[in-house]
Amino acid sequence: MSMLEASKLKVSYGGINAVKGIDLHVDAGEMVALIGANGAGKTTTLKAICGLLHHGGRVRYNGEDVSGRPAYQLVELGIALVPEGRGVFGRLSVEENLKMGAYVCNDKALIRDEIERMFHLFSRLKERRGQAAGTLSGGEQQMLAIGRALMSQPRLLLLDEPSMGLAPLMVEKIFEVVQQVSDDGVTILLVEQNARLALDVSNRGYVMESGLVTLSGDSASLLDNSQVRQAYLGE
Amino acid sequence: MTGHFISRLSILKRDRRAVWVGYVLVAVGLALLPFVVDNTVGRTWVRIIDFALIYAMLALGLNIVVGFAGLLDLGYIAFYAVGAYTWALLASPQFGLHLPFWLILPIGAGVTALFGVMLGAPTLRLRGDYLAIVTLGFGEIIRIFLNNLDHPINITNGPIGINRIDPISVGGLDLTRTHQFFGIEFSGTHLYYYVLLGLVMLTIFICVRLEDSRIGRAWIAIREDEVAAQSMGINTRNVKLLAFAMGATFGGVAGGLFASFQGFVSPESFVLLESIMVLCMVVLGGMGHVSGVVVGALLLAVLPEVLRSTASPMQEQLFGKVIVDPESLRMLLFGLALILVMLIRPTGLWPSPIRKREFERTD
Repeated sequence: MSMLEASKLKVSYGGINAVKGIDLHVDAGEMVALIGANGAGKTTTLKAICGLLHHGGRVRYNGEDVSGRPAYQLVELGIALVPEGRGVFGRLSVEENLKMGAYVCNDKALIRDEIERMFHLFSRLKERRGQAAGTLSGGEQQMLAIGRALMSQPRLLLLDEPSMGLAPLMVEKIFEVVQQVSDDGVTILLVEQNARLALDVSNRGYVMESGLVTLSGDSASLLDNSQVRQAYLGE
Repeated sequence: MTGHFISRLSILKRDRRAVWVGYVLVAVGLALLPFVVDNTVGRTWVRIIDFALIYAMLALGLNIVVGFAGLLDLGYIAFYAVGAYTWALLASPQFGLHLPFWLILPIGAGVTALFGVMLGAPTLRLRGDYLAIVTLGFGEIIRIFLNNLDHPINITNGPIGINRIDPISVGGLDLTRTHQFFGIEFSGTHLYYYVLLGLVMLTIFICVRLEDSRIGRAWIAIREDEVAAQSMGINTRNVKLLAFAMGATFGGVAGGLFASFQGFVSPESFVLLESIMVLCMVVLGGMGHVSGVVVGALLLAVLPEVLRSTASPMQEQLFGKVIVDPESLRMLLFGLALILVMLIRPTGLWPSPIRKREFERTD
């Protein structure tokens, strides 16, 4: 049984079909990449899975049908989203942002421990714990967004374009952390435009094109696939 | 300078006794205030302070909706009206009902909370300007209803309003009359001052506790980024409705006290300008900051009265006659004050640390 299973997932904005019935699954412990060009429907897929958008088809989480459940309920079940463009609370401090991530948790001592764990994972955030999140650099904000999502102690982490708009060095750092989170046992579904990077760190991958999954398989084999190389790796 | 201030703070912290002495002094000051005011500038001013306290309560309620949750409500006075009329209908000769205040207070709070949810529910998907327009409409609808509910069945007496509303009475003690305690004479205005002061303190306490609670954090998250708030596990629908309901409740309680204090209500007390006035108190004082909002409310409620009483004599002394009617001068200066504050202190007179960050330079 897969941890996450989406079948015939469909999303439309008004009359436009952004996602036209896709099937994908993520097994426990895996890191799965969802790659594709701009407007292929990757973010929409992710938002539908975590309950932020109305959708057709089914989404199953640990065998349970969670289609149509609102996002806040899925957080309690262990699904956390790192939204596209980070979405940190700009006027709140770094620490307040992290606390907000633990909204579903009531154990104050546990929250304190988790914050320390995040500061250990992202030492840059510790230096800036009292600073307003909006004044952080893009990379630091991304770290904060990931840390905040981890504060809810998710079993499935949905990452939306963590490399977007970041300097190459920062991207590398972010992906090191993503790798580490995955090694710690968190299942990850990663949406990325940077196909090489995504396929390098993930176990499996799906390629989306105008609302449909056109290719899927082991990340290594996708990296070798001539179509993928031509369309997404620029070779 | 700052260092000096901090060292003084730490001295204060070490010396707990000094803090307690401070509290006692403030308490004594607040307790004596009506007598001092009464004996120096007259009883009218005690009455003005009473109204200022009612406004403080209103502003604190609106601050929950606008300041904490970031939902711009331009029809807030409607809840004040609902609270006032609930009290008026349950404790006046209008229906011959004379319920005791400890019963009307929770009933009024409940009714206005319900109205808060009724307004909140259809506007959940609206934000910013759109929400403002809809709430503005809601405020007017309530007022027009009150104005026209004198036929076919007479409920509100229409534009004439409801008269002879029961005052708060404790154990047969009518709070609008003058009483003697310990050989000291307390007028009704004085007694209401203490009731209102107590309720404002309670409201402040609740607001401060709310701000630092899970609900308070959820409100702030919604204000900052609704999608992110949802993906933190916040049920944005319920939390928004709660903001409307809580804000409305405070407004309703303030309205009830207004009705009983004044003994009379009519629809013209609840016009759009009143909504704007309360919003100004919140914005001018410092949106989202409890202390700031209280200061804003007290200032905006008292200063126009000061102006009203000084503008004419001052003009007569300077020019020998009244050139500008104090009433029109009031709005002129009020507008000027608003513009000045927004230019010099865009986050309000006493902003919350969170709001302040928005305008701070990044370095």
